[in-house]
Amino acid sequence: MTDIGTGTYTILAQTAAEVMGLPLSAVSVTLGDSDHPAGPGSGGQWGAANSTSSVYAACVKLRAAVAHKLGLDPERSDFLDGEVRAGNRSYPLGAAAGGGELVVEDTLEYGDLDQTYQQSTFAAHFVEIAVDAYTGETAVRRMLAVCEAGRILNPISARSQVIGAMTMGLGAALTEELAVDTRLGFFVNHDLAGYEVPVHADVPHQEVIFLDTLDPIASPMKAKGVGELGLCGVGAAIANAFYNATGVRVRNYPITLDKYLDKLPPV
Amino acid sequence: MRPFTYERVGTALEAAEAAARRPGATFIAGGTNLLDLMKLEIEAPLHLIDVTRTGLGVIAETDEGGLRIGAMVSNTALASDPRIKRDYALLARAIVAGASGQLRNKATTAGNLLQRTRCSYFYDTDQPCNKRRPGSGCPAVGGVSRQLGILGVSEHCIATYPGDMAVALRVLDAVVETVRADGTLRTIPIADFHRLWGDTPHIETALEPGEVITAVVLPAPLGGAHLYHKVRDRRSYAFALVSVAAVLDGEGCGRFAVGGVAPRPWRVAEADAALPDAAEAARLLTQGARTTAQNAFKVELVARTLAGVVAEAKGEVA
Amino acid sequence: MTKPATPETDPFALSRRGVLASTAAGVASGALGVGLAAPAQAVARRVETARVAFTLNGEPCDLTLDTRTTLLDALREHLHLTGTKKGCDQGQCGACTVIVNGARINACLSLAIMHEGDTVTTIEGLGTPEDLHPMQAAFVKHDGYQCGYCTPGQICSAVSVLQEIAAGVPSHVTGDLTAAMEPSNLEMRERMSGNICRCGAYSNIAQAMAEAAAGERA
Repeated sequence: MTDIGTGTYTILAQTAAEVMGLPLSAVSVTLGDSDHPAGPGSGGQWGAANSTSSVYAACVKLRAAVAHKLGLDPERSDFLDGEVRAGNRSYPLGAAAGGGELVVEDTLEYGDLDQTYQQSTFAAHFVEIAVDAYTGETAVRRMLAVCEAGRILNPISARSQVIGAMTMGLGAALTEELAVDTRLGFFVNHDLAGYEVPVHADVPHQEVIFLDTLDPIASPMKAKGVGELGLCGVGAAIANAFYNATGVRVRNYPITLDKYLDKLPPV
Repeated sequence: MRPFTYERVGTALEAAEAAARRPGATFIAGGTNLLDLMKLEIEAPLHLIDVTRTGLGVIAETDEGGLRIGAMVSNTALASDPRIKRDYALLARAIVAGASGQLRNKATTAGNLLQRTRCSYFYDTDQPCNKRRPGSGCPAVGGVSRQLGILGVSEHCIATYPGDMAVALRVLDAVVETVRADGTLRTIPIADFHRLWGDTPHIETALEPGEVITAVVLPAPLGGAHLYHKVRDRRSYAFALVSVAAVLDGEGCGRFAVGGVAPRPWRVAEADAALPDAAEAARLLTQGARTTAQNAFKVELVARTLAGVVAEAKGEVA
Repeated sequence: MTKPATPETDPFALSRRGVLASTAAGVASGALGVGLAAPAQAVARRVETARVAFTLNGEPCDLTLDTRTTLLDALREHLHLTGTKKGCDQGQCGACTVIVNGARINACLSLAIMHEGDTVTTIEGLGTPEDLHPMQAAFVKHDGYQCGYCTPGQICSAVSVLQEIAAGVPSHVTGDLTAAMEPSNLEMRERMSGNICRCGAYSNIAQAMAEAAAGERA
């Protein structure tokens, strides 16, 4: 597992802190080391739901190990404010390690869950675009994504992922195209001047709404991923909005004006 | 990047003299379209002459009621000058339509005129290019040519001059002032500054080797509505597919030039005279266009963009 | 400020330089014309060095550098200030944005030796983790990034953008060129367009800038 900017460190620390009854600052997360157990990797909406669920599983096991060391019943122990409490007894959490380390590892597998339940996330994307009646230039004015992805583990970083994905969807719909000169095997626009990804000015306004439901089937954390959720659908929304604005259907991305200029009403 | 020697000169004449002394020398000012080319070894000067501290960073009023813009005035300083914003808004609008804030802070008036084409084949040293290696051929003709030129091009090269500022200067009838190593001064009308490619696309401007641009002179203000419309694929920080610079009266009459279509800002006297009939003016301007399947849309795009600009001057659209 | 290894002090570079120098006869008479390169020519050239002194984040700094060294490489490789990032190295992304004499520039498209006497501010000079610049604090608050690679450039640019608006520098979306300019959402988004963020944090960056702008005017 890695953190490619999606906030993995934060949600893993959050999960461990909550389960173990510790402040966030007491948890350190290490990632990206081949000595670690194999993780789901960051991608395909796998990372957040699976890695937090794995941390959750390991923490449940750790709680049992701690309780056992302290001579407590894990089912009747509370982990709160850095302490383990059972009845009228309480111990600092660290006492369980007795000056050494207490290490546990657990594994999470889903069996045939994907055969028995559809595991999708769901979103509706809305865009407002403007098409210049003279030049045919297309500009996105507003974007909104309404997302259902089970429990939202961290609303700030989840939202950042979704607005980022919406931006990528905008680029895919309107500007991004790999041009290849097939005579020469030459990738023509192989730099950031030729391959135009969206810039600040392309993205005037974005909103995200999370329904923040719980999905009791998908994972122990009742959460699903959000990565692709913000991306899939944006291109279709833009193409449909373009059709609404102009009456012209463009069937291949990116929707650049050389593909539709001659179909626009005359000026 | 290939190694080079470096010197800093104090005047434009010293720069010209230094260039005459040192074969293989190139001037550097902002460097925003020299250093990228040097990294790619498309440019490989033996000697760099730093002209940034030649005292040419000022804008002065001329006896004719115009402005003399020093060669080293940055794009940002030029667009921000109160006299430019008030009397030559077209120039300010064209400048801020180009590049990014960072690049405009560094790029100079003279350097902007000398920026080279953005043709992808020119920019990749693994490809043939008549501009880089005269006689090696032009794969852009019949290649990926959506961005490339439709006017003033030849079978040897279909690159465009990619800038915005010069398109406004063409409408304003600016004049480029230079000095040569023997101390002689020269003025070059902006209309003649950029050469058409013909069979020598590696010779891009009217400058002689070692000749130094000292200033760009604007005639007295024209009045009228100053409009610059740049059409590009994304909303900012991109080169023009087509741009239209125009100074028009309330009837839509006046003058205009088009960028992104030719080796130089394209202006045609008969097309100016046809205004306010935008369709006819565009037809006259693009007469003789030599298009590829990929860039033929630019003919229509010029017509539509000009129609929009004329409508704006007449108050028909915001 | 520490004095890093240069071709003058680095023995490996020195020996390589000696080898090149012994084969460099006649280089200066190469047939390259002004503005006309012939990259295919295998001309052996001597590695040239030059000295430059400028003020970096308030401290004097004096370097002897290969003339080819960009300001970006001088900062990262010689002065070991790695906050400024190398993205495209071609002026197409803005990751290397620094502030020189009060104006933001792409450090990748600037030769270090041309900055004699200049005042250079990098992300390290804007604030520290203990004492963040208001723009840095606003980026943290509004999550103005994901992977963070473009962030130092975004922040240097954002600081400059607010100054440029206050100074009356026009932009592509400015309506009346001669009126006072406002740090509106559209103005900031247009002016920030030279800083590409592939993670797409633009909307969060705009919120951070709006907060910093409001703070400056309060």
